[in-house]
Amino acid sequence: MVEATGTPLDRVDGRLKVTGAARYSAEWDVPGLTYGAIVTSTVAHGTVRAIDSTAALRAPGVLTVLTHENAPRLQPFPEKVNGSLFRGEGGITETRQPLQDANVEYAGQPLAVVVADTLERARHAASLVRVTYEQRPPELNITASSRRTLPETFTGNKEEKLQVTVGDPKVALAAAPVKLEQVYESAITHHNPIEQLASIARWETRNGSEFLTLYDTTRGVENMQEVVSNSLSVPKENVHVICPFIGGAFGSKGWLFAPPLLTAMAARVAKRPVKIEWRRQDMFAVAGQRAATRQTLSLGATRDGKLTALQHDTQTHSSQSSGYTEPCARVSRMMYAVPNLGFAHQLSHLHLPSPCPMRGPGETVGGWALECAMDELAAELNLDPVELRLRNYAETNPETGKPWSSKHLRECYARGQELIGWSKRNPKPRSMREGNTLIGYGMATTMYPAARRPAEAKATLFADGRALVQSATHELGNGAYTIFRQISADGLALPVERVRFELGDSALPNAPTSGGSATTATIGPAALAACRNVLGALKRLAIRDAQSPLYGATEDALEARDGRLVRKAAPTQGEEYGTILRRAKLPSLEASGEAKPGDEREKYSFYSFGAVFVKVRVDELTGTIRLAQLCAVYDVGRLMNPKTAHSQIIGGVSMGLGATLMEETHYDQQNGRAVVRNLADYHVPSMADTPNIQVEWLNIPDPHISELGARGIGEIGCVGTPAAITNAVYHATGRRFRSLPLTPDKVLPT
Amino acid sequence: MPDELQPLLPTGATVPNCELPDGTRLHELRGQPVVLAFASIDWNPAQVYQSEIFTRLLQEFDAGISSLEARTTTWHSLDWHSEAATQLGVTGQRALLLLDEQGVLRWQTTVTPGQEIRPGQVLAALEALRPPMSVTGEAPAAAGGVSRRTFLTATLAASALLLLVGASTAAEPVAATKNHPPMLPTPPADTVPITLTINGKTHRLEVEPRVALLDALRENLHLTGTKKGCDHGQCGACTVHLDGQSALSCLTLAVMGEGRQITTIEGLAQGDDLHPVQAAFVKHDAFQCGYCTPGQIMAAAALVQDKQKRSAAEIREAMSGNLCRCAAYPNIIAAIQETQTA
Amino acid sequence: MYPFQYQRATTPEQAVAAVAKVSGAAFVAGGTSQLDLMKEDVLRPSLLVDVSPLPLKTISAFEGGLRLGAGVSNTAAAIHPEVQARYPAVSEALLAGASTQIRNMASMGGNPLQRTRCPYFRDPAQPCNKREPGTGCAALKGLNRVHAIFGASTACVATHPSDLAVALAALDAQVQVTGPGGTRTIAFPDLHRLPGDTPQQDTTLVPGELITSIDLPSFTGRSHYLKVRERASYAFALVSCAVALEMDGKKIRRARVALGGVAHKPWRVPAAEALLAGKKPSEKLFRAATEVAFADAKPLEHNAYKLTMGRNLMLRALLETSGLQPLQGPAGTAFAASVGGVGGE
Repeated sequence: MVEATGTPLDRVDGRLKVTGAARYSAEWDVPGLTYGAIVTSTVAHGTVRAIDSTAALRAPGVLTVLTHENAPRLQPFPEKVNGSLFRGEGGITETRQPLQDANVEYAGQPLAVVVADTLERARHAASLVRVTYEQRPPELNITASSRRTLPETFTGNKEEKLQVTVGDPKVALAAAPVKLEQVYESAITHHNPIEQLASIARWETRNGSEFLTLYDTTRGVENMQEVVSNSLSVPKENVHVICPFIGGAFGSKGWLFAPPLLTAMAARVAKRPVKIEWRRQDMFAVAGQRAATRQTLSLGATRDGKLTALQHDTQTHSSQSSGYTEPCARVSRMMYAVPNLGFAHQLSHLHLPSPCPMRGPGETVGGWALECAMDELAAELNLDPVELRLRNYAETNPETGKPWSSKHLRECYARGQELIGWSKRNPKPRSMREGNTLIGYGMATTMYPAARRPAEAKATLFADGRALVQSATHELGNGAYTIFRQISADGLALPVERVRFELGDSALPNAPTSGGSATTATIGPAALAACRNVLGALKRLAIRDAQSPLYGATEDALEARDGRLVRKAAPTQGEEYGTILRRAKLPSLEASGEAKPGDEREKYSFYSFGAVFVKVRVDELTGTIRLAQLCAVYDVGRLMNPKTAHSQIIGGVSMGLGATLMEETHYDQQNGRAVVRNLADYHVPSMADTPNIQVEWLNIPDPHISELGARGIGEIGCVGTPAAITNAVYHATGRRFRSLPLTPDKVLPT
Repeated sequence: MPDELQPLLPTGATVPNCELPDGTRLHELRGQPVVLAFASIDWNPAQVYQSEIFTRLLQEFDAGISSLEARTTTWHSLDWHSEAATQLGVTGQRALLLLDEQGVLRWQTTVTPGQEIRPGQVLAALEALRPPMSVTGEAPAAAGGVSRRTFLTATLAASALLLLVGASTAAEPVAATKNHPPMLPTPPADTVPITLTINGKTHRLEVEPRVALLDALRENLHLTGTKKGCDHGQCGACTVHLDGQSALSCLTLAVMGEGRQITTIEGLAQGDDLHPVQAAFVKHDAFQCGYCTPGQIMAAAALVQDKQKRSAAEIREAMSGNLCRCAAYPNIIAAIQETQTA
Repeated sequence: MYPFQYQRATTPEQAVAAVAKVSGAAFVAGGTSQLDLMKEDVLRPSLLVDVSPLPLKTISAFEGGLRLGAGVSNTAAAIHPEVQARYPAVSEALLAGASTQIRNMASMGGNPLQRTRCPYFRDPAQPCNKREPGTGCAALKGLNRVHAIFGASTACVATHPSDLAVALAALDAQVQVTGPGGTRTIAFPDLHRLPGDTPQQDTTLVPGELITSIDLPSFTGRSHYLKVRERASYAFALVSCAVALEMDGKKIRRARVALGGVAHKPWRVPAAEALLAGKKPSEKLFRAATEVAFADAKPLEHNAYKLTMGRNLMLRALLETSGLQPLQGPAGTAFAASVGGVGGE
């Protein structure tokens, strides 16, 4: 049988998605459903003096209005949930429980929920709630904040310190023959998945005990179950979180607990199922964001281009009730062989909404700054930008000294140059032109940490020859349904048509929040373990069954092949799985499996790598930039499905394009309200912005990460692209741009 | 429905001794009611939700179905192309059959592809059925002399079946909705009656004038294939066809949809045959999360109607009103290029 | 959204009477701008009179020009052969605006009446004199990157967002109106007004007046529209420019230039037009015209770029309309209008 893993299988959920049958969180038809609408704070800092719900309560169809005065009490967030630091500096989430007090910490903060019989009536009644405030001036500026901290770690991970010095960068910088110091700034950006946040909460009493069913746009059903049950003081097993499809997340929808908690509270008080679908406007306040950054990059080098020192200092911001810190040095800490390396992160707590991870957290904007600085250094040294990177190629991880699990970045550079025609460009800036436009070529290195986490799965063989494999992971466009079916089919030696993979339900075997490009390396091995275990159980059945041709064999002497168990030594001797089960009068046979990273993490440093090359057209007289072509080559280990992988990569690339050229959320500098709060003003790339994209991969299995040899690919496309574009704009115009995004007003020469 | 299908067995007939997937034969199961559910083996992840509901129903109806529980806990749907399906005359159909203790067919229902289903209605109907049973312990007057337990079982299992296989497509709920208790005390006062023609079918609704067509589709009619991405005409996810042209349902009042031919994603495929644009989207992987996809497909299907060959640049421009945050754009272009002159 | 009553119009007169009779009543046609703002609670009509059923959907010859019925969709107008051939600026402006779906829904009568994209106007929690007179203008001290550089007041610095309106202003289109006081004709450049002390009023229409058609006068010269935006498509103009050029041999007989994205209305530049009249097209002449056109510009904190961008764009529009520079794409298409074009090779 041909292995399914690695083949370009069409998405198995494709038919559901193209017919509109895939069911997203706002779409469950729950009887007696009512609708919640949110009242949000119009000010950014202060205290609610009074909330007058009288008019709202009198409006037709209104069932209840929840405010901090009458909402159920919630338990505070735990310190840590499933290993991630929640509270404190560097913590991953906003720990402000909704409707528990009168404090206002950012504009758009939920202050009340109105529940009514129809969506229209709920929304309208919400506009009738009158809130008066004791206002205080908001702090909105990174560099002028009164509450600044230096978080020690990113989300409590001891492997990821945020304040690090290796060697003596200060001294080395002072002594460096060539020095470069520049400040790079990036804007606040929003994930803006096309599916808006939504939850449906339904409470029931079963055997005298309260049960909550929660349909929520979450890529962390297990974390959600944990946090919601803890917050509401309900046993964990009485909370059921369901999410079989997510309409995009990109870092959002993972650590957002206030939206479902508000829904659950509203449903409890209204005594009816409640749905809250958040408006796009609200998502600029409650759905997380990538914080703005101000990064100072200092490079020291020898005249022949060897880096002697690298210092990368970041100023960024969070809200009053989150310690989330954009880890901008993620690329700087590992990319180049530099003996003196330092980085620091300073966090300002502002009266702005809470940030959270966004595709390539730290890498996207931190890598942009580093790779732009490298381009500037190359120009300073009159070196080809690729050559400068090769001269500083890191053979081992410069921070930890560990060898790489697998690194083939040189091949990526070489192939990328070929694809774009790097050698045919005139390396001189501002030397290439077509009609009204300047032409520029640029490149950047990209990377992504190859994480892996513990996970569990369950495999069930049915007597009719079909199989089911389950794990509480998520489908957010990553192709989880498809690739885990492929992997499971191989694990069970069955054709993919006979295997189903289920996910998106807290009742399924444990799996972590889907993020950090870790899902394939995490769930794949767990699924394989479950498959192995169920086949082991089946072997034991056959071995003990006198009627089986496999009777009396040892387990080791048997193998699964094409839906049959056979003797390795004599493959014609064997029988189909179903035959074994039917004779045993078993409709099905199931087994669990778990998998987790081992001591390989102590020995090796796990990263994916890549090189991005772009060609841009710059219409300088209007400041307009278009991408003509983007060629990228990635070393991401073995591919599970080249078709879905290609899609994920081009998606990442486009999000990088958006961050570079157009994405920016402004908050009014007087009152802290989002001024950009819809998809007409917040520009995400449209089809018209899309260049010709050529993506290749080396497809070299990582020998250490897991038996699948696959590292993740969700984010690496987003990293690298911004610097490649920015460097190409420099090549086109001869001008450096150190502030994202490169909107026409900035690019236009003044 | 194709002609070559065997007719359904009449109620009251003794069923053939079919073999079930676990090797059991039907006649071996005499002495207890048996539920047979047939469905496509095309998998639907909504089963996660449906099996949860099923389990819950089992708990709630525990008194009436204890003898069934042992079987239903291992219950899974049978392939509608299996031998048993052929023998029972339900090939290629979603079907549910209930056999009584003597192996006699007592109750059956089939669901034609393309019919609408409202899982919530089924659930609500079941809830409506519950009180008299739990209070009196007596069966309602069930038709056809089927025992209380059998009736309950049938209703329960039918719901489960429809939930299991129907969430993606559609059918009238088995249990009558007239038993559905009014969930809300007062009917909306400021509504107007309207008639909408959607995918060739007439729907009568009572809506306030401020209800957008998008919300009427999603909330009132449960045609949730049309997506809400921004609610302000800034993303294209809600694209439908109005009189054959692409339009945004979020910026169309439902009352203004009267007298127009409305086509949604649910009406694009011909039965099981995907529209060429839908098929090309699958082939070219022209989506990831799938949320903007119905809107993309409706916009693309409107675009390719004129069979003009458009350049990639022209497609880029024409399709720019449909944002895809997963940015499957190059693949969407490829899918459209393949279909536009076909 | 606030509740409202809904009526379907049967004749223009009946529609006008229905709206005139009820306080807070409004017309609705395509609804693309109106529903958007109603969902934000920015517009709160008490009654919507649906004029989409009215028989105003034809494009016909009219006094040597074309009459575009108010109910003609943006799409229908843009691809009409006569519009494409004789008034390419109109097609270009339409096709470079919004999206296919919105163009299918939006109408000739409604498009020029769309409200500003000022983000402060659209957020009911922000002060805005246009939305709520007397509350102040948050954009003055706030983020004013997309705001006006011409004709603004201390009460309002909003700009008008319609692309079509800019082309119609350059072509001196005429607006036919039916209202409670009968019918009248408005020269397009007079349809919109400057904010002054009453920014709540975008146009010179009086309550109850309904646009029944947009008339394009007879025109034998060249026209062209150019637009700069932050995204390659589906974005409002930062700055745009429409040019209508009539030649007399090798000399310009009459030039009309309208700028978009710079003022509360499509901004005609009479001094620059006068400078161009009677002269032979040249880059030098055109540069001089752009200097004259922008001489009175008054930038705010974040929009000074519009002076440079606007001058550069106007220069290019003149060069392309006069034929001194080639169009970027076929006349009458989005490709001719969109500066920078689409991504890809």
